[in-house]
Amino acid sequence: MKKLAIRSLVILFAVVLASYYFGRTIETLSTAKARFSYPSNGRLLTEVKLDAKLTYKDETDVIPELAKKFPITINSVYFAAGNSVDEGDVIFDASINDFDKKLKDLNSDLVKKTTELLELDSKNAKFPIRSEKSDRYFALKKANEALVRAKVEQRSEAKKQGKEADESMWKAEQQAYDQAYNAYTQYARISLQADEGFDFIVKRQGILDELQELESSIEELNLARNTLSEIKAEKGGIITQLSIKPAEMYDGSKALYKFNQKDVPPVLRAIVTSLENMPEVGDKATVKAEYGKVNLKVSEVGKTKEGTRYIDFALDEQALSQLGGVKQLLESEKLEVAVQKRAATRSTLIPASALREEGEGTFVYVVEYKDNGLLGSYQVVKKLSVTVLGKNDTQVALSDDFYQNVVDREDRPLKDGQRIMEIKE
Amino acid sequence: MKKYSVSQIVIFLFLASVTILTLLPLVRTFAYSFFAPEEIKSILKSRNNFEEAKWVYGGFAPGLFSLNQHYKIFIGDPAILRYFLNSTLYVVAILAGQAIVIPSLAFALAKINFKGREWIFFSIIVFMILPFQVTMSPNILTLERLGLLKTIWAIILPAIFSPFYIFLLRQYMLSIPDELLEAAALDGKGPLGTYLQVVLPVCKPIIGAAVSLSFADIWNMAEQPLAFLTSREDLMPLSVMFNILGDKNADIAFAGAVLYILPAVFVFFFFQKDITEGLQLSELK
Repeated sequence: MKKLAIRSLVILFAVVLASYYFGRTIETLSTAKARFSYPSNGRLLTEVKLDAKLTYKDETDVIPELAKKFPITINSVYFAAGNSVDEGDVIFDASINDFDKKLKDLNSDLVKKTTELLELDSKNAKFPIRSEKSDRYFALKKANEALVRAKVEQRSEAKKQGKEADESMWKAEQQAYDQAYNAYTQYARISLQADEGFDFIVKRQGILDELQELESSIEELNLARNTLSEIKAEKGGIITQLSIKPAEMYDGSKALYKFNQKDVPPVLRAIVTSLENMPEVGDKATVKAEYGKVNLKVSEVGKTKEGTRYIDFALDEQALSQLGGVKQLLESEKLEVAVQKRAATRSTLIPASALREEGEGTFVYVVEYKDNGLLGSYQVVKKLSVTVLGKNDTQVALSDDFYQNVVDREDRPLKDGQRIMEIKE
Repeated sequence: MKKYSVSQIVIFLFLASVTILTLLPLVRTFAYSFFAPEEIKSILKSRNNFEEAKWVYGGFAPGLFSLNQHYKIFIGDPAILRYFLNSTLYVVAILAGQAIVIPSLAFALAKINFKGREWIFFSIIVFMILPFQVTMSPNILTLERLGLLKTIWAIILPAIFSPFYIFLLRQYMLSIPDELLEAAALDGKGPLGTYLQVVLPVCKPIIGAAVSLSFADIWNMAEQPLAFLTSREDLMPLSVMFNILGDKNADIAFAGAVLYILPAVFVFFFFQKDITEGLQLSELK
């Protein structure tokens, strides 16, 4: 009996010891395991991805005015889009199309008119080159031109302002004209005799005017040659767009290049066609760079003249450098900007992977502790239906308040009430 | 065939009834440990909710034989085994301590003449009579001062000096003839040699009885852990943890009870003869 008792006692203790060490292992293997996450309370950070492009808000079109009158051919281009230029830097070498022919024609016309004037003067040597009548005539002509110009300008201005033009607007010019007209007609009535010299004087003045016009054209042509042969930067800044190439012609119908002043930094602009929750000024954003991410902020939200909505992200020197520089940014089609937007209201936040779907409903498994008295406590999962307010790649916002851990990334399918253990990382 | 008188049959039936009544809880505990947890829970739920017109369920056979309770204790959630091992630790440590201290002290008080022996024995008698509740507070203060409160030593050390077993062994040793000791001295044995080679073998039955009784004391102790191990649940013995066994653990209640009973049963069987012999031979009989 003693032997049996002592053997039984030894066996009992051996079994207890073995169970104590290995029983837990079996339990661990047979119980579902998952990571637990404690729900936080906060405003959901959603991320919206937008395509943005480097944009210069103060970009101006550069159109050499003389090129409209004298089309040019580009010989050399010394800068490219994205290059920085200082005031006076030569951007293009160009030549005026048919410059020599134009100059030759003008000179030829000038010679012809000069000859015509000389011939007229020699034929009418008996007449003076000015008279009282002709002076009054030219004064009337000048006053008429001034009146016509004043009428046209004032009517245009009134139309622009949506008003009706009236005579008071050109009263001074009208008075000057009336005065010149009276002076001329009074004198013409007094000197009724034939005035052969008057026709000569008028014709001669016409030739003089044409000569004046030809000289001006020659001067303008020369000025255009001097200006357009080397097209220089008027201010320091960045060339933002330059599409013309050597040997191409340019006639001033579009911008020769686009330019932005140095002290106005560029932005990344995203054109938004449809976005429910528009970001606000100050919202954070990130852009993927070659090495890591560049942090940006929304600097402006607005509408263009065409009515399209845009979001601007401010760029400083460091951000520009991290993104590869202006030249690379101008060349790239678009950049993907991720805008982080905080929800307006606070809610319960859980990991996105903890949310489960069943039909049209959503639920989570929360962890509940069951008091097991003598054996301490154990954990089971409880199915809890939830209402989703919003979600991003990593988090889900719920309208429901609960304070238990949520089950996340379990190692096997779960069901309501199932026992579970936590995997701690 | 041997014929029994009517009085013998009556006595036999009476004793058999008493035996059955005594063993009934033990047998039911074993039987219920093979009931399915749901069945156990439903039985326990009916407690204090009896219908007077109906008989209370008293069956021994489970509706469905199940090892679920035992599986849960040994494999499913062996947390209860920790308390079992705590109990084992206390039993082994205290019995080992008592094996060194108690027989030697009893021998000294019984067979060695020295000044103050009677006073020491008197104080041991006083300590034996005093209930635990009286000595609890001084014990707590002393253990706290020694830095032993809420440690396993708070359970082990006070229990080693158990006055009852000193008294028991001393009384037994008084019955050992002095001539036996003198003969050992004549054979050249000193006091230690006499104690180890003569007295202890002679005291084997009472030592066996003391060990089994002490085992039962330690295995079932509840006041000391509750008083000295406050908030140290990890150090509690199984005897204390069974106090909080409730409906939540109904599914392991009976398997746990079986586990709790088994060592005591085995120890009883081991020392069965010593208990009866030892107690008969001692002056306590």
